[in-house]
Amino acid sequence: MKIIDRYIRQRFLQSFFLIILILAVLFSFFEFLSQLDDVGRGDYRLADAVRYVALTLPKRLLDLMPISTLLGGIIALGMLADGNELLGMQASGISVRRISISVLGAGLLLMVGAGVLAEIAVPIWEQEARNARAQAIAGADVTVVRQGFWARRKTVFIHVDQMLSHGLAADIDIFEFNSNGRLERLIQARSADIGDDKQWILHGVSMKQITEQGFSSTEVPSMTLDSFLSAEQIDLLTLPPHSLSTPDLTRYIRALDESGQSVAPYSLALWRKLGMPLTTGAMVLFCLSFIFGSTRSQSAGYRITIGAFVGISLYLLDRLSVNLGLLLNIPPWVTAMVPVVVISGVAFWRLRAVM
Amino acid sequence: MMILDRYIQREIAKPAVVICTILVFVFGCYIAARYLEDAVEGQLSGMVVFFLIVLRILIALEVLLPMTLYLSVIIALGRLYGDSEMMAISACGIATGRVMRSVFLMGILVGGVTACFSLHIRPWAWERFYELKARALVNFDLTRMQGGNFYEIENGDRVIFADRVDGQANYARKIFIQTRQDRELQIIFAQEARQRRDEKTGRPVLEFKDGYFYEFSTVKNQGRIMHFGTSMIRMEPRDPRRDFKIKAATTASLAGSEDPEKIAELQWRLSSPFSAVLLAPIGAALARSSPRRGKYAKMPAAVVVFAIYYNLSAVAKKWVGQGVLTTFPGVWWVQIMMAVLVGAILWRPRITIFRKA
Repeated sequence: MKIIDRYIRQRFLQSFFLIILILAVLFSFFEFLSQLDDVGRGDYRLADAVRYVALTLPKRLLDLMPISTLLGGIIALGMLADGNELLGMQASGISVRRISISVLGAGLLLMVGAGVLAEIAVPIWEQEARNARAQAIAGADVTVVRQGFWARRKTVFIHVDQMLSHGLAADIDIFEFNSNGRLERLIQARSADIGDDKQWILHGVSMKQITEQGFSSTEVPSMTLDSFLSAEQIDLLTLPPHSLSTPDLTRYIRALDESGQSVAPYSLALWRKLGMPLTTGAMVLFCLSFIFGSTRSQSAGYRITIGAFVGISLYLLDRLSVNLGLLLNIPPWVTAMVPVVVISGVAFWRLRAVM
Repeated sequence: MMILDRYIQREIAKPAVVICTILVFVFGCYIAARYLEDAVEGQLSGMVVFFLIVLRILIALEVLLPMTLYLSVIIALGRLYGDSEMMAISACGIATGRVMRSVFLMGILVGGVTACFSLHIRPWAWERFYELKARALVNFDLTRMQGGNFYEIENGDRVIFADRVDGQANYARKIFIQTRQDRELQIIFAQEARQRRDEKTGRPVLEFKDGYFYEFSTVKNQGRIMHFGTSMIRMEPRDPRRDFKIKAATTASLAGSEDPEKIAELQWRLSSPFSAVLLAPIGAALARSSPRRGKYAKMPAAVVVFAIYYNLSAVAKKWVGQGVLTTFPGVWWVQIMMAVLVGAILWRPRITIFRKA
């Protein structure tokens, strides 16, 4: 039994790696093309573009994982079926269920792989890629690491135009409204040191106190301000949700929730992270259903075509539902899990006759 | 003899249809993921996202079509070798060159279609793409906003935030708007806001209730404060700032230019049909294998060849544009190298690429 497991696993993984290689090379080339447009801006050179494409590879691989599993699985199993190898296995007393378990074993490896990519490789590499790119494009004299951001807590709005490095911000506007919606204080500063204890030390400050009669303006070289954001939270704020690791995401969702901002994109990113390995697994089930659930008279080519289209449609549905969910305010865990359940459901329904 | 040619061409065309559709679908899904994220964060409507994806697919077809042919040739001829059909063809006294001729014809056919894409459809699609995106980013729609999110519109000159938004009722609560204009900073904070269309112009207008308007000059110490019952601002769709992108320029306008970047773009467009013509025979050479070897044994090597060829072409284009390479032979040196390789394969059919020990 060990030998047959290994054989099936090998065939499955071979096809998977072939498909993901083709797709990753193709999409990396497209990414490279669009990065080449930026070569020549600031200090961004050809080597930086190559580096960016290499560093964003884990994210691309992760995105392509479910679809490659599906196509690879259908091709591998389709070829086994075409060569009458599956028939041979069944004839020698190996049940369909046993073959399926062996395929699922290989699928489990891929699910673990997807999990490792999502949790370890993507956050580290993606952040590195973005930072290096922004730094190179911004030029040598200013080291703008990240773009600015807006944040709000209750009636205080903060705008930071640029984050220079960890804890150093440039061009800051702070708007303090009272509960009636009247602006009470407008603080503008040239730069700020932001500590991990949420204390901001502002430099080059111009402060306007506003009353019903008018406003008075004062200029001070520096002042200390208790804010609601620490340097660590800001670091997370300036990165796209998908590039954060699970602990960072949970921490950040809590911080956003406290500040009264929308957490939906971040909690969706969290659920997507969980959903990606599960979708990969569901795709394995789906290809099983396609090989065993259909009649034997079909050729491999036909089966691959039909299976691929149905699978891709399901995958597209998965992508669409996630974003529709955000627009329609459906809880993120529902939108992230529904497609997995639907794909596995379809697979089980098709498999029920042969199992 | 016509029967054999047609047979080989049909064998190549069959997988090509499937591969092309799958590549288009997968590429569409991949791109969709990106723009759909934009639809949530930003303001792109579903229809706009759909058109953007279609345009991106049209742009990508310039590369997807030659790749489709390349993979199909490898699969089709790989099967002919695997099932000993090639041996049977040789046994009938038909030279390998004859099979190669069919492959070449397919290459020229696909090359012709690719030329249409690279010379006409791709520039047109880029132009529409930039236009659509610029317009979508300038037009603001309150009903598509989400409470608790900051929206930067009009190239970041205006920032809008609302505590709560009811899209269906077209109604936002506690709305904050900051507008930066040259040296002035305007802030509006209102308890309620609604979007409607101006009867005369048909342009969108934001109407506020019960709020304050502030205007500060960033140079002089001046400012204005107003408390209003109702007020409104026009959301003028400004003329989209159109950076002239060479990618969107028509081929006719590129011809005869002295600008190295334009020359590079023109050479790229002219050379891309050759990728199909050159990749097809290489695919045929790679497909050659003895029976009982795996059908897809040489696929990884084939993908490597593809990656090297295309990435080198892209780098060559960039270098011509930057003046690192002279405009002659320009981007053509990659094509020439590839042509030499094809020539070697045709002249000495026994040479195999990536012979496995």
